[in-house]
Amino acid sequence: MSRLLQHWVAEQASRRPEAGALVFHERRLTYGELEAQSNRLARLLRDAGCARGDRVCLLSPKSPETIVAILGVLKADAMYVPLDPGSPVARVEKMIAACDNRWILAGGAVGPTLAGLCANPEFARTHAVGWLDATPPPRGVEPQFSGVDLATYSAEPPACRNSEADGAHILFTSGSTGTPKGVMITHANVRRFIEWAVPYFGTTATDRISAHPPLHFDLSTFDMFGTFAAGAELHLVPPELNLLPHKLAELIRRAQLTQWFSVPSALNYMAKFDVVKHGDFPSLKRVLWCGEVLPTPALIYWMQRVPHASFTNLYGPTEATIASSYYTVPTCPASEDEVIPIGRACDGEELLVLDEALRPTPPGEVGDLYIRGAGLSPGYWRDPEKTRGAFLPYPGSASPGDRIYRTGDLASVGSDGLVRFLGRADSQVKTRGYRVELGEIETALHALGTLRECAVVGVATHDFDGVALCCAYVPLAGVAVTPASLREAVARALPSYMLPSRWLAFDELPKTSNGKIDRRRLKELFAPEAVSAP
Amino acid sequence: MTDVRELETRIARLFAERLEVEVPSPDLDLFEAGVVDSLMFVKLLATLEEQFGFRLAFEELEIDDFRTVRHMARFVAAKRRSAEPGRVSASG
Repeated sequence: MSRLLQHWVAEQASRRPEAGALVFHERRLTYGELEAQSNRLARLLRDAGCARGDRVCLLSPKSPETIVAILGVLKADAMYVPLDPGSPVARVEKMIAACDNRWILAGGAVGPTLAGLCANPEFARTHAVGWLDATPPPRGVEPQFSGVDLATYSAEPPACRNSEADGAHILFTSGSTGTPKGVMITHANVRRFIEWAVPYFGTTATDRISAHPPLHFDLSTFDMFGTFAAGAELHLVPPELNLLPHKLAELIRRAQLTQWFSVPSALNYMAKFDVVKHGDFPSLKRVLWCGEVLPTPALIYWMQRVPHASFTNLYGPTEATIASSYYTVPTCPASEDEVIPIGRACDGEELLVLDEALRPTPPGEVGDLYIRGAGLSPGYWRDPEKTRGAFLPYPGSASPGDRIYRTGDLASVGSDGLVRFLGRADSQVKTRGYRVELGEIETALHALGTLRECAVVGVATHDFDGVALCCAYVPLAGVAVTPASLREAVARALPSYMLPSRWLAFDELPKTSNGKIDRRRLKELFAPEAVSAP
Repeated sequence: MTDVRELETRIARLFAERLEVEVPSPDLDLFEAGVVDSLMFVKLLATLEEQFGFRLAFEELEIDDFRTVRHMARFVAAKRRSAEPGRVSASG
């Protein structure tokens, strides 16, 4: 029998139905309730015509209902596609069109986005909307079914036909040409990581685990399925707490969390505003981060104040599922300049640092980082060309399934066998853990039709979000634009984390000798402290 | 009440001029609309401190005070009333 992601919940529900599975604000859902509700939803979806392999888009912030929906979709043998509820309608439309689906499950504060989608008659004709909440749906939305209809369906598990090689979800990441790319992840991809992580971290049913990243981030799959595999309790972190670092700390304290996992910016934010006391969070056993580099000063801050916890850096792109390598920091770094390695490959994975001819580089030398192993996605959803560009046959292997993924990261392997991250080979940047292709921002700015030239560069800051997005622009002759008007206009096409925070108008962008935009010069212009330094 | 109205206008202008964001309505939920994220929030607090001459500590802040421009105007008005007279700077 296939082992699918939803089976972990079913197992806990049969053995410990009263055990807590989810906590959100004052609400608590047991494994028994999670199992029963998701079985009902799966039956409802099947009844409505949802077929095996269908894509079901989720437009709903993280909530118990949304997690019930994820499990319900999997139990209906379909794939869930978590959309960023903070993205503008135009971008959400692109993702929905790209995954060619008929189903939207929505809930929470998504009224304007959902109404915006439904205002398009073509969308309304081709899509069925399910409203997950017990509250009335937003105005202008006529759902096919809603949360209250679930009660009429049986809570018994429906028969599943999926196998481990079938898709569990599609996650969209920024695309350099302006269209987000959908990464398809199978049940087996997620399972291999969870089956390494749960024993490695020693997760048990007594753990209380944070769910910090939003659901369209692949880290959230570790939060959910790592918790369910161990029968632990998942504490959903309300996203608005991200604004107030002391409230994040308060949640860790009050909920007595044993595991915190987030992008580095959340840890850095708490460190910058000094909200962690010495000996704080006595229950906390592990702190994990992934998505980008955690500044070493922030790591030192945490390790000094919470010496009873372990600290693990996880590394890996969405295309290789959650994480491919790990490094548990053995002792508090002695110096703020110390570089924390991305470490060693997780079981079933391999990290390869290769030169241009795909030969391994000697120890200590920079090369391109490739990943090989069971976590590799089958590829980008219905995009064989992009898939071929990023997933290559393993050199010298006769097996067609033996592939390597080109991460676009630069790295070296030390004589200690540990891999160190050394930057990007292209124009992708990380901001607050989000992968952002600068080309996607530039494409959206050009599409406004008010600029003659524009370029976006990422400038490292000492702020907690790592990289500041900076836009240099030249308005079209006779067109009056201001940073505020540009930002407002481009916000209709891009989510907030992709909006440039610094702007400079030019008569002409600086060029290199061969006529290309001089991005290095632009970075200097946007980093006055670097320029004025002696 | 006029005081709060004036403050709303002034805060909306700060958003446009200092944070480069046009806020269409004083009742727009800035968090739900994705206008304010953590980086923006820190800039916003610094701008309010500088413009209204008070000091804000994270520990005394509640999310709801910053949810809309109207809420912020009420918060600023209350903060100014409770501040010592000598600490309030008038220019803006």
